Amino acid sequence: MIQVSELSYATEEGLRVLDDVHLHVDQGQFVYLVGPASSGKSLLLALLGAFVPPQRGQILVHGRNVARLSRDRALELQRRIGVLPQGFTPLARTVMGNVVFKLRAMGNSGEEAEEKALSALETVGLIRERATDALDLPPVERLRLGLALALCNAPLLVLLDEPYGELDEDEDEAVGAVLAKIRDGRTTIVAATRGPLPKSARGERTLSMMDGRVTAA
Amino acid sequence: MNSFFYLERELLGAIRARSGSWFGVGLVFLFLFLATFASLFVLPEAQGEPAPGLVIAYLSPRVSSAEINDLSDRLRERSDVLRVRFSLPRELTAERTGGQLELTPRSVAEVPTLVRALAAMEQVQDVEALAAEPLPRLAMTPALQTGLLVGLGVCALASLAAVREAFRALLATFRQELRLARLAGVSERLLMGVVGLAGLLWGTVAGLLVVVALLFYDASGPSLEAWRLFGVMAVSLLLGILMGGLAGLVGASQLSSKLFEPLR
Repeated sequence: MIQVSELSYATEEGLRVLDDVHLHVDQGQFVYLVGPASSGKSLLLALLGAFVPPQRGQILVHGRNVARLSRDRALELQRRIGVLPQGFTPLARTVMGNVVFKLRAMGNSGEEAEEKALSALETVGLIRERATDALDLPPVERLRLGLALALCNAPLLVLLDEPYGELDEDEDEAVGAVLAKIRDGRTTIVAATRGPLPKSARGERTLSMMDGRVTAA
Repeated sequence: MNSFFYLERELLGAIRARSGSWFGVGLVFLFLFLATFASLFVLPEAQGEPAPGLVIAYLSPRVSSAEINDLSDRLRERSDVLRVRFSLPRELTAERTGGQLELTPRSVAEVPTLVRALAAMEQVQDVEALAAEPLPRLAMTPALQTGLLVGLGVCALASLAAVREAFRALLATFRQELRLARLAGVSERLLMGVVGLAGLLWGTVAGLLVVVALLFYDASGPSLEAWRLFGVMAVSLLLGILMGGLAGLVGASQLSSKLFEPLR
């Protein structure tokens, strides 16, 4: 569950990027944040993932107050969050090697990592490409790999920044179908996008973001 | 610890031509630094000029004790003689059956004059000039010591500058991995430790190379006392590890660059 209240954030130059944001997302819910570039979507995701400390307001992520977390607790929370960063670039390794790297870095043993990696690649439909060099993948497959990386450690929360970045309509649909597939009623998913949403995503809860404010779509 | 050693292995595996070359250059300078340091303690002190060897005058067996004493006294009075000592010959030959006088000349230059003077004496049957021990080829002089101290500083700075470039190149190659690790909640301490250990290993390699070089130096000529040799080896190795730790800190300090931020 995510509960954001009175969240504001300003740059060092005094530019207000987020302005009194209120947001409530239930556990297992899939929410799209739709808004133009520089509307504060990426910053909101970074705040939810405890990658940026909040300045004003409160953020509760699965019962933890992000503003008051110690560094170790924040890292613990980040281990339960899967992130697909904007403009995701894979590692110069095989598809499998990418996922295994993340899992091994998180402390999984070699066997555990391979098992979880295969499961994540199966979920996103990349199992056949597991031995392919990730840098040789077409954009849509790269995005699937990014999703596999976000999902591989069974996170409680998944944050997706521009999952439909530079894809054509068909590719958008393919990614949308994968996202629909990973909805398991347990994992909370927040996806930020400039829109428009693919058909497969149109039934999901959508919130608009404009000039640092969140409004219902 | 599992993830620590995994990341260490992956980081070292990301060494490419550019970073490897810089690590190599840094290793050469660190080796020179440590070798210079060690040489301050293992090189022998320089002597002004080579010590003259002994001049041995073999006496006739017919020379009496009184004559030997008289001859010794006369020789001691000579300005070119430092010391005179009587002894029996170590090895008897047909010409060398009497006693012998071992003379220490004041300088090498005076040996020929002394030999001629002795040969002219009727009590003396034969004269032999023993060669002095040669001076060590490399010895510590004040000028060399100053040069080594300057070299010590230059090599230390050059090695750290090279290793800084090496880490810059290595971390640039490894940047996507660092971003992903941070995104996955890997702590800053762990990442700094991984980079720090890479520096420590680099310093240890240089230290071990100097230990091997010292063993070769000792085996090739001037034999050092065991305590001195092992002492210098231990201190050189420790200094190598210390410099490696410093290099690790230099590398780890680069992790704060924006290039490695997980969300940019």
